[in-house]
Amino acid sequence: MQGELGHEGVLVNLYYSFFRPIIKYRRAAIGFVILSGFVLMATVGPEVVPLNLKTDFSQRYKPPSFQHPLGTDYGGRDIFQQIVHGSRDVLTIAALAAMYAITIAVTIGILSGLLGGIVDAILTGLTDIFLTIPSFPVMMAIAAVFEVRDPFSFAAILAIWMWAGLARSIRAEVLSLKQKEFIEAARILGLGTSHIVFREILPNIMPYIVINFITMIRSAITASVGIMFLGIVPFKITHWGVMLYMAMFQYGAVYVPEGIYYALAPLFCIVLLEYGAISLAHGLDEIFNPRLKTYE
Amino acid sequence: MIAQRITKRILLSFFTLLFSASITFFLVNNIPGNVIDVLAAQIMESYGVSYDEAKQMAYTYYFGYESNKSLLERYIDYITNIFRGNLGTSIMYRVPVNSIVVHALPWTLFVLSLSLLTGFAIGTLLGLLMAWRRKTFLDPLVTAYASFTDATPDFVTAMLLFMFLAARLGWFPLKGAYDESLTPGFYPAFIISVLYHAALPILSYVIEHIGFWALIVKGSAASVLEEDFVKAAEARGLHERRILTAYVGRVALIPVIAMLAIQLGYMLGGSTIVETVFTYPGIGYFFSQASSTLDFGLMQGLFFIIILGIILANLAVDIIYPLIDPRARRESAR
Amino acid sequence: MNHILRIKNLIVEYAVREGSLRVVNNVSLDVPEGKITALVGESGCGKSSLLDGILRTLPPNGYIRSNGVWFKDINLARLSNEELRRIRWERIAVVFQAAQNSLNPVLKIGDHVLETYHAHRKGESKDEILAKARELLEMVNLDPKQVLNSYPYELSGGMKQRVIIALSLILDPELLILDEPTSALDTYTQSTIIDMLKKIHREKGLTMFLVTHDLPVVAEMADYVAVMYAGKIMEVADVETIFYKAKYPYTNLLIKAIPSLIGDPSDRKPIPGSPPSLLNPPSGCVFHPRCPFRRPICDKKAPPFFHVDKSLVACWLYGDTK
Ligand SMILES: Nc1ncnc2c1ncn2[C@@H]1O[C@H](COP(=O)(O)OP(=O)(O)O)[C@@H](O)[C@H]1O
Ligand SMILES: [Mg+2]
Repeated sequence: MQGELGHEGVLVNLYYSFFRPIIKYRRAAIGFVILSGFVLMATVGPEVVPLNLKTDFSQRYKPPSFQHPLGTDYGGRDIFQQIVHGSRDVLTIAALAAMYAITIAVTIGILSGLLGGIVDAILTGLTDIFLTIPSFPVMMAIAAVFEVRDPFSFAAILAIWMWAGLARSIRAEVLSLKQKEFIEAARILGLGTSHIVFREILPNIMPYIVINFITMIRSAITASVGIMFLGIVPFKITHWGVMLYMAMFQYGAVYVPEGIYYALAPLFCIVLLEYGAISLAHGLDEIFNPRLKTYE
Repeated sequence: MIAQRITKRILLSFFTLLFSASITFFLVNNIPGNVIDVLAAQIMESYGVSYDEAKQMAYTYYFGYESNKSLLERYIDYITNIFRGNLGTSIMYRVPVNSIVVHALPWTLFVLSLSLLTGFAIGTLLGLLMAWRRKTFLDPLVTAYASFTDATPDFVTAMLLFMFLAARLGWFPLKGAYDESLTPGFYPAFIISVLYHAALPILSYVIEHIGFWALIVKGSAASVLEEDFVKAAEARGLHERRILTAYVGRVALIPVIAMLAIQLGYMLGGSTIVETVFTYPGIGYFFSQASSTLDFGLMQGLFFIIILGIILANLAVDIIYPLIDPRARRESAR
Repeated sequence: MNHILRIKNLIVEYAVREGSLRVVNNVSLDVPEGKITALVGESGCGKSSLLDGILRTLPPNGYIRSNGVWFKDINLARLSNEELRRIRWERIAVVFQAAQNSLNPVLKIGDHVLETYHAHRKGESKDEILAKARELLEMVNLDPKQVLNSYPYELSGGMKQRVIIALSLILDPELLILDEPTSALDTYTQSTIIDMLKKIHREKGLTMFLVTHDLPVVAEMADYVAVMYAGKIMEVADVETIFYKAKYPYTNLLIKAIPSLIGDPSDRKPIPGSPPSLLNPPSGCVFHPRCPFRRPICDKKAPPFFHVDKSLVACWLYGDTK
């Protein structure tokens, strides 16, 4: 019957399964609104806000005004424009990294849990190693050596160091699902592995994956902006991490009172964006895994 | 059980080191040609050798293998060198990485251990209080604080502290680990100068971690509070203080202790940012310098030190664990 | 007869999402000194909560009201936390249900003994305290040398249960309250623990208040029995009366429901129906929906207590005739 649903049906379904719980849980709602705002900024923003990177030193470090809502930078360029245009790269890199990492994690977690034996032993060992190695320094080193400049390879470098934790929990989840009857039944019925993976296991761990997607976006933002903040990947000048690098280490914006807007604007956006992601992830967690609260 | 655990940890540590060495080998193998060219040119000039010879020398000198050998031989040479403790040579500083480590590591260890302990102590106290005195203002306050600091990455905290407290107000120094005019030694003026310079880096870590520890400890303590043995202790008329320390605190901290090593790992990774912002001459500062100037020798060497630090911290936790949790001694006791 | 404990109109409620759950409903009960009194009733009828009401050991969502809980001439309900703390274990020891989990996993048994002692008394040396503990451990058939130096995880469930019982005597309390002391143990351990408790009672003349849903244990140990149903005490009598001439229909059904105690095992009849919801208890007498002798008044008015022979019973069968 599900396949028969028209457009309305899908919308109604989406409403009941996604929007209604989000409205009900304040935390998720806050996160959702914040993230939606940034997604809007990243998608529509650059189309409607022009970007003028011509330097005009007479306009250096102007405070916010009608003309420059967030003031201007060292070169007299509008900060708001940079923030809007930078948001696209920040979010693209983070979303790509999260997607890659989820793919790796799901593959390794399911393979490891489902196949067991020597494959499991090797993959578990590998996961442990990846969990032990501190991700940020490795990401830095690899990004530096390969002199990455495009979002795709940068996201890949991040993803390689982000999947391990999720893979481990997916493996555990698969192991416990394996004990459940419906998987047993599918086995006995001789339904193939692909059926078991795509019809039984994936739908069961989907909520988990969605939540992790959001938390990973958040970690990817921290990592990517952090690396750029250190000036290791000289990306576009509008990228928030590069803006911070400039403010901190190049233009000396942190030393002069007028430079405050240039330093604070990207900082504020990053904190707000991460706060949104964390809230949405926590909220979704509350929705999908309601704690059994017997009292209070 | 301990023996088994430690054997497993040692195996894992070995493979982690091997894997890390392989990564750095892979990186070194992918050095952009121009970096080698520059090195070779310098060597040609100072030793008067041919370009090819200079290139050879550059490889042997900086990375510990000869570039004309086969890939496998190079790999083996490289790994053996690393495991022998020869971490390579810094291109920028022209000294063995080991000697940089000797100077940088103490600063990092000093700042990290002080930060870890302070953050852990304050966080634990808050967490226990939150669990114990349930309906007070403390819980919502600390929870809000924790979710705020959770959303602020290291560089945000460090940069804000630097910008306001050091650059603008001038209350704290802009760089360094101590006042350059003092000769290092164990005398009050120097120690005060060291603490003064370390204050903001430490504060960055502590601000970031208090909320984390508080929530973790609160969760753990709240579940211990529901245990029958806590109620039984109350029925035995034990003093509240005794129950909070020997019962709730002691048992709740067991799972938390294991996280100290993990947290230290994060902090070592984060030291690249914090130490760079405050120009604090520790491992992290040199590592990020090395990365941005493509000083491969230094980069790989420090990377190992960071990994080694994490491995040792994990090992330490595995060893002290049975001391704090008698249940972990189960097998060996028999 | 002297009563060591007199509970007056005790009410215990838990705050739950659906409202408040009244699990002890206006219970008054006297515990005679020097005897063993048993409190029986199905699981979930509020026995443990009643005990928690005595020394105020309820979980955070539990609330108590009463017209007094008198221990000798002290009203426990009026004591400050510190005053209550001094009475706990020193004068009234409560061994909770699941006593196996009553020990701190990171402390040795010896440390439990010492900390308990020091919480109440000063003066005696470590050796004197431990000597006393050894004596008590021997009394419960444990090897003191081994046990005092052990962590709880090194002992079996039955050993831990016996450790707690020994520990409960370390301060020579005047009243020992035991909540299901034999549940979750194998039958052999159960019977040794019962023998032990009987021996302790005999030798020390200690007053015991024993909570259980295990009637054979009651038959073997108790002098007096109180029957609880859905948060209320319905009948109180001496053990003979309860087993042979019980007045309350539920008591009789309960006794018939136990196998092989008296008479033929095939006589055994489970009580029809199921215990009521405490969230919406039945009107009138809480037992009326399951009662084979139901009368018109039963679902309208809760019965008061009537003295019938040697029983004190809350049932309209004995009251509405007059
Ligand atoms: N902390 C609590 N919150 C809510 N309900 C509880 C709590 N503790 C016990 N209950 C409920 O109260 C009722 C009585 O419990 P209890 O006193 O343990 O009964 P008994 O000891 O007779 O088995 C049960 O229905 C139980 O589910
Ligand atoms: Mg009970």
